[in-house]
Amino acid sequence: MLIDRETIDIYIEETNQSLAEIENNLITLENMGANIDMSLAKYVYHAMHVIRNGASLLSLSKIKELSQKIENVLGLICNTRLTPNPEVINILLQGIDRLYQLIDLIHSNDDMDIGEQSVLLTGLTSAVLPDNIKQSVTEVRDIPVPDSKHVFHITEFNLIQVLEQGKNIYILIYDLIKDVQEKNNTPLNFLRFLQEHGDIVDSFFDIHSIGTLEEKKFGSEMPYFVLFASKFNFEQLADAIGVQPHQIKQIKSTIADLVDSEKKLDQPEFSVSFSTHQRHLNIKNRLNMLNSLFCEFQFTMDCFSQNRDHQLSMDKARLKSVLTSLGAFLNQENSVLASKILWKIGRNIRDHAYQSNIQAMLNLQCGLIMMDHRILHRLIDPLTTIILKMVRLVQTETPIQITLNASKNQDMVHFTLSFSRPQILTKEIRMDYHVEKNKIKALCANISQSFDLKKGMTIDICIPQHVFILPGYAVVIDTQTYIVPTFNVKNCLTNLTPSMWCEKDSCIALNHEEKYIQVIGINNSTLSYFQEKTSLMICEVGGQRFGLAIDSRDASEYDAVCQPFSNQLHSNSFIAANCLLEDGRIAMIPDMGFLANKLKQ
Amino acid sequence: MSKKVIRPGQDIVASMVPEFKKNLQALIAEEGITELDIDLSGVEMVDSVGLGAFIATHNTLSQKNGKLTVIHASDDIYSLFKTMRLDQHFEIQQG
Repeated sequence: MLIDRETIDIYIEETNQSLAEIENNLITLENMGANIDMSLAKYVYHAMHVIRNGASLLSLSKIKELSQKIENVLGLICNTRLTPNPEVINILLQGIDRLYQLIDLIHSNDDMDIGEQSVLLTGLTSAVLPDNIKQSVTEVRDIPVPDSKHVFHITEFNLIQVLEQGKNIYILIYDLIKDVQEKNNTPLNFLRFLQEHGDIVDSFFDIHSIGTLEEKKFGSEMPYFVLFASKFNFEQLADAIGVQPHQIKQIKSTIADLVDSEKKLDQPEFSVSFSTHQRHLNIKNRLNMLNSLFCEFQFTMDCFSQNRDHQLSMDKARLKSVLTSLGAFLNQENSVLASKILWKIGRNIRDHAYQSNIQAMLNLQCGLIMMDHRILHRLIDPLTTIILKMVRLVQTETPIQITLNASKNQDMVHFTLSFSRPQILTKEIRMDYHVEKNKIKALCANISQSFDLKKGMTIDICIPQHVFILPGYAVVIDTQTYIVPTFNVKNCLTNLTPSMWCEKDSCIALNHEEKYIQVIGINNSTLSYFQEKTSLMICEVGGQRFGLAIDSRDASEYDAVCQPFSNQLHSNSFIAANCLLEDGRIAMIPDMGFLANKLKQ
Repeated sequence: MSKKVIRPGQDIVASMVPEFKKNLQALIAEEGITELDIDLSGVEMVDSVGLGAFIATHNTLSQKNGKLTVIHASDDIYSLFKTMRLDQHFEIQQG
């Protein structure tokens, strides 16, 4: 297995708890009969969905297959197509019993058959469906791959199930040699990456193109076609999975009738599934919005705190308490178990190690430490590289094991990287890791390396458990890099010419499409200063729009991990905070509220 | 019909495939093997070129009305072959 034991243990523990809850809830649903408690049914459905997703990520194929079948039946209960009578609940409970057994056996190599439960659950799915849908369980739909002789054969029921989840269906066209092998990727990682962005409904190789062992073309191409379901639209999907548009085909016309029939049939069902899907999206959007407002509030509060007026002290304290509670809520929402994300380092190490013909493994010891998922994701790349550099320091044929230990002290998390056998390095060697060091320091963290004969080489990282992250655009203004908060940016105009700038109502403005946009500069606000600028960010603060002159032609997105606010910065009232970029440079965060107010004056 | 089990004992990746391919060709062409079991005990990784080797072996054996079976596949490799629907072409047994 590629996943470390600790992650699997967490999955086992959570799944056992979840299954116990599902069992109780199923019995409650059975007692309610036809008066289905929809919120409870959906809760059970979602819990099983989580189990299935976990099994998928951990490559637990039988648990995934069985939980998918249970999920299908639960979906029918949610859609009121199936009443949770004793017979139905009994079959579901049999499936859950087998899931318990499969989970008990995860760490052993024993296998267990799921044939009986699968037949019962599939039978239930098809037996209770209305006649017009029942046919779809066996009815196979041919979906031709455009511009090719290949065809997917897939049951209509499977397609309808996917459509009911509000997903779009695409055909993805890959060449595993060009798109995977030549990019130093492994097929397993490639599939896992795909599955992070949707579901593989079906797939196949063009095995004839691959040829036989004797043929010269062997190893030169491996056409691979994927029928893929994703909530993303065409452009979003191409961007997310990094493929050229010609590698993605939409199949709307081939399944148009299914979409229609599904809409006709769905009534309560479709609205249940779709609204659940939409709600998840909305929750994510709301969280982003809340995060943005929190940042704005934090900056405002920081300015406000500089006011020495004692009469305002009570108001300041009240606002501070609101801000603290809001911050605590966001911290909780963004926190996940560190091991749930950092296990990917172990996978990377193993894959790189195989490609470099060295044997290395990661022993991940994170316990139950919770951290911001955005920070954890940004730790994966530098930690992987540091570990690989450590491994390369050791000249040995025997497998090398590196331990990544995490512990918590107050609000700081300490990570220690060390060789599991410290005596493996007998003399001190200084490792050059300045690129990775900068990436880690950009997370508001400290990193250092040390060596002693007892502990061997260790890398220590000290990182705040909760950080203040501001999503923004990195731009250059007068040779200094700034992060302009995403929520303030509405547009970016480029290729501006000197003649577009003018003085209007004793302010500088830009004449764009016969409209005047009032503009402000960070360091200077004279006409000649603006006439040298070729780009402008259109910003908005509290309904007031204005332009911020910048030098960059492109603005790249960057999640700025703000450093603790420094009093020194307050001498520059237009700077709200600062952060370190991943290349070691310092970036300033302009106080957009201050700039907007300055324009008003 | 002649049957044989081979055990590569190492990851099936681009660096070993040319030699592996030669061995397979020799087994099929010279020894006349038509039923081949590839035992993946000790194999933890298969890359894209390695996958190609399995498919090419299957294609070669199919031309001779033979059969390829992959046995003792690790969980990851079993999952990889199943997801890529290679089990529709040849039999894959989990380790």
